Amino acid sequence: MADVFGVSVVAMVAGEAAALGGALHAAWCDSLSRGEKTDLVTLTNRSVAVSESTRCAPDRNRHALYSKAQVRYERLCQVLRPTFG
Amino acid sequence: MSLYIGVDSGTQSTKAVVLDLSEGRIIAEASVQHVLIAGLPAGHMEQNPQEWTVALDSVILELGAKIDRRRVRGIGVSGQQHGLVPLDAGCQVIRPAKLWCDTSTVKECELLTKKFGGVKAVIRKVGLPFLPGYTAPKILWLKRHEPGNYRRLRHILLPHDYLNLHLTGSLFMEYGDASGTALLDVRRRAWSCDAIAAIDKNLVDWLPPLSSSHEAAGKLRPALARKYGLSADVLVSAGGGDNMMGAIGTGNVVPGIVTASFGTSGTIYAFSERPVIDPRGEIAAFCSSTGGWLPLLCTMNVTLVTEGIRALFSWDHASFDQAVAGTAAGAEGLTLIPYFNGERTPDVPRGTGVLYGLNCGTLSSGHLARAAMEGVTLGMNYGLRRLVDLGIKPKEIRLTGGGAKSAV
Repeated sequence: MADVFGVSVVAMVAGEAAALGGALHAAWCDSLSRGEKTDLVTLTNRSVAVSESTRCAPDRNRHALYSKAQVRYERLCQVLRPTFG
Repeated sequence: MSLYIGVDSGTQSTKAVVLDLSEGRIIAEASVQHVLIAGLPAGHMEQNPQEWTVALDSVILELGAKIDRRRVRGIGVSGQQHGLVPLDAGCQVIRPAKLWCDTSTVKECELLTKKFGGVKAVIRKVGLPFLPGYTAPKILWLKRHEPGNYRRLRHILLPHDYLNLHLTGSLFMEYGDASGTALLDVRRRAWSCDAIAAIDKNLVDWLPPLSSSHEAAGKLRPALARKYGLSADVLVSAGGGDNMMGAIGTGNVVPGIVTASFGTSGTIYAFSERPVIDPRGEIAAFCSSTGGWLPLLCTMNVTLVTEGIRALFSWDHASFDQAVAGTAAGAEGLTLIPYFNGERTPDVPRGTGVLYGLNCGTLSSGHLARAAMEGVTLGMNYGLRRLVDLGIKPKEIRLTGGGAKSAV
């Protein structure tokens, strides 16, 4: 997937990102309400973890191949568009 | 030390976690499934908001049994975006909520767009075009199709706002989720007079006042605090839409981080310190729930496609992964355009899947598996490339959602 995007790709440790985000949002809001100048980034740095073992960096050759595939894909979409009605 | 409960009220289920902030880790989880209303005409997707409040109570009670409840200081709610929860003067639900995935409002989008004088004018004034999923056309739908219900309408909330109302008793809306209504001028973060006037000037009184995303929706209602066994001092944060909360939960709160969510459908989005408006209207110009903006692309066809191919060959997940790995990158030119469900970006609602590049060499289950995986990824990459065109500089993509683990 990193080969398609051309950017490093990594999965999260926690499965439920939105629920974790809700909890962090509550922590942020609670802290601010008590007059603390808490930066949300400080909270996410402490509690949001990426799973380093899943990290993939893009391979230059395969990214070049997928860049061509992307052009073909988007051209096909363009050409097919009128046929979808 | 302090504990915080995060709740994600989705279309299929409600999931909740307890975060121990000082340890920076999740110490308890709970989830409850819920259902959509069955038997509606095609394109109509509705749910009873009571379904969400019952699930919310249930997950919080379940979590409470697993933790020291005295340590809980706050609750933050994430909800499915765009859904319309219509309330009467007594804050009672008038009819079931029309959901983000409801597409019965195509006509209403046309009517609203026409009132503005075209899509370009809508984007200039609101920041994003009227799409069937957004809240604004659902309100017009109610006005046109159910005048009796519409006459009783006095308050308009989004799904997560309705849960905040249940928790605190206050009518509250923050910028992030509000930006998915298509009633917000996303550049100024204020209600758009033009969008409101195009539906009904009274809407201005029926929408809650807008608040910054870092504010609290309120304190837990005393009766509910007793029921949950939590302190009545527990704060309920503004919360936000699921993508906005997903951004926080993946650390996508500074420029450079991009989140890709792989579910049945997929989203790809990035934090920005400035509004990111797409003149083509393909990237949704949302606000974040962290004081910034969150340009986002939604594609309708992700695990739906890969799971479909997996089922076709009766594979388990490991066999599917093996089939993908056993075929060369690029699937020797076999390309799957994955629009099984029609597509939103690019906008081809009547699109279908298309296989291109079949020959005697590529006609194999492995090639098909690889082409499916690559097709959905190329579809997401279309969104990433649009984000880059609009000035986003991605340094790292963080994957989330059910399809994330195998997708890497």
